[in-house]
Amino acid sequence: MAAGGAVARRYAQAAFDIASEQNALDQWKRDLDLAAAVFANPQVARDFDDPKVSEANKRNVVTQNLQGKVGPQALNMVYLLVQRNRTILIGKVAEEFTAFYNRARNIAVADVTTAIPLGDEEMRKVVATLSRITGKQIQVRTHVNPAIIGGLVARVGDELIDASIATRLHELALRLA
Amino acid sequence: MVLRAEEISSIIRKEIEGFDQPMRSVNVGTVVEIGDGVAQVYGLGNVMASELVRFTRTGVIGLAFNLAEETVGVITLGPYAAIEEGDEVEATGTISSVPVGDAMVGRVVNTLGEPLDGKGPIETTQRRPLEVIAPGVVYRKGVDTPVQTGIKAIDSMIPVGRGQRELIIGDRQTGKTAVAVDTIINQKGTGVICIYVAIGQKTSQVVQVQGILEQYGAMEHTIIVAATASDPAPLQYLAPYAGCAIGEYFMHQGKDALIVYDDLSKHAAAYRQVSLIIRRPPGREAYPGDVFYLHSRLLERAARLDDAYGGGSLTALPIIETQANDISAYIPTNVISITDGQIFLEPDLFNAGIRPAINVGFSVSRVGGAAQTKAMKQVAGRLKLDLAQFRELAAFAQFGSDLDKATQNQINRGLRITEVLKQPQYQPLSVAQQVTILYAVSNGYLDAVPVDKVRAYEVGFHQYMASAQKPLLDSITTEKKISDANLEALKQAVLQFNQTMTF
Repeated sequence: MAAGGAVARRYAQAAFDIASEQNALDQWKRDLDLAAAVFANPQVARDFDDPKVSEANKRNVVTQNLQGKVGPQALNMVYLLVQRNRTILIGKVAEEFTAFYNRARNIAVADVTTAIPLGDEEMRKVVATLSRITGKQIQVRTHVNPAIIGGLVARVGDELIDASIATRLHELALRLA
Repeated sequence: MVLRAEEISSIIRKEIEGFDQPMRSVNVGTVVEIGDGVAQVYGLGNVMASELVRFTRTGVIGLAFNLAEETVGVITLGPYAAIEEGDEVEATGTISSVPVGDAMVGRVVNTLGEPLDGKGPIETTQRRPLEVIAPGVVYRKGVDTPVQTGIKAIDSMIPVGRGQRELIIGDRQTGKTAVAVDTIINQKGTGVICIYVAIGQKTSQVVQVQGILEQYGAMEHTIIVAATASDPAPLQYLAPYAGCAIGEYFMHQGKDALIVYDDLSKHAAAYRQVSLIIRRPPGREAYPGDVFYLHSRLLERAARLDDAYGGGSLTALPIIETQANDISAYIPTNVISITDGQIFLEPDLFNAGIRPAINVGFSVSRVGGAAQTKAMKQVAGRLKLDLAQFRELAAFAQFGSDLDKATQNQINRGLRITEVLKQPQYQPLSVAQQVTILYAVSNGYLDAVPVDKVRAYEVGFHQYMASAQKPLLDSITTEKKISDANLEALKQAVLQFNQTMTF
């Protein structure tokens, strides 16, 4: 998780700067997500990491797969990453770009974990509360984990809001130990 | 002690009933790497430098040590074997600190201020941060009051003042700790609170020191902060700062405190370990680049406060262990340059029976002279000179050639001074006792005493003075100098005692 994050952030920052100048944030986000999806295939990732495959070959593959589907500058960015042997980072670049995108649009992603799936009404309440706490629009990723027994755990960035039964029991156990 | 079941259950019941933690909102991160007591944590976005963090699953406390772009380097302050990759780490929002207060006196604690002596919890209300900036110029005052070590060789020739940093340096087994322990014992009844910080030492040795201090009634004014060899390196690295924070509490109360760091060589080694694990670049002897600052910021916190700020003091006696008498190694030179002087102990002297094995030639005190009592100055003035001349001549004397009378006298005097400066362990002497015997030897009243009888002479002399000349001793103690009348009385007393001695 940690390795390469700083490098990817530099590429994402550059892409983000171009995108904001051109007012094409949504376009860039789509393009990068698409590129990331292509390279997420392990076979593709391995071939692109292979020093025996020539750079011209790699460029051709990129052209065939992405030309027309993504904007010309996003394509250039992928070429650049190919040239620098950094294709392994494309997924991360897309991730970091999304982080920049979310910050610009005042969106926060919340991982909400519950013991049982939440109903629509409950979910609306959770989203409303979280956006009140963070002051941001909330995109929810829901997880169901019976191990937390009851209550709810929400994580927004590094901020953890933990109201689960499992944690309370654990705290109690530590205190009594 | 018998466990009373109902008592325990009731406590548990109270805990459960009172347990109310509906929701917690914390800054968290995830362990991505853990090894040798240092964890790399991803996340912890808003953590402060040297903030305490908690490993949620195990409850172990850590310290945010290295704030990098991607990760936070956390040093663990407890058992780290159970911490795993993927564990959650939460910020506590508090900077590393240690409990301080009068209740600490007489106790043995660890780096976190938790009791180790099994004498129950320590009731304190205050905490002080481990790392603080040392008092600035306006808060300070010159050193003007002595710390009496009770050791003749030190109090006469290498005097230590309150607020001074005096290094005790020497090879292993030369009596470095003994000098410090004697000094602590001698603070009994002076109101000076002593803190003995054991860093990376054998636990048995710490227990031994505690036993000695208890035996001589010195634990009543002493706090032991122990981070022994089996404690994790981060705890050893932080122990001196914890001890210093505890001492500063007394200093800011307007009291006088004395802190012994035993020893800073092992402290540097512990810091080197932590730094290397956290991948800071190694420098000379593989110590990191900031190892000088590590010690300078610690020792700078020893101070004599101005009366406007309470007039308290914190005197530091750092100890450095050298290898094969090499004081030009990295850490010894660093600490020598930071401190206000050093007491240099030598194995050759130790083995020759000169104990404390202080090399008077190499030992200095850069500020203590201002703090020395007048009485001591009066008798000690010639001492250092006499000894220096003696050492010069003694080299010639070894050839056994004919020596003129003056040279012989000088050598005889030197031999007796050396003999008088020997002192058994755990027997610190009062200022008046030191002054009187040093007066006798430096004025030639022992020249007729055979060298091997000097020790017996001194024992008899102190007994005689305490019984027959008590008013004179008291007078010297209260006047803090030897008045002309007392000088005459002292001379008569010595002559009188000499008549009773037969050799």
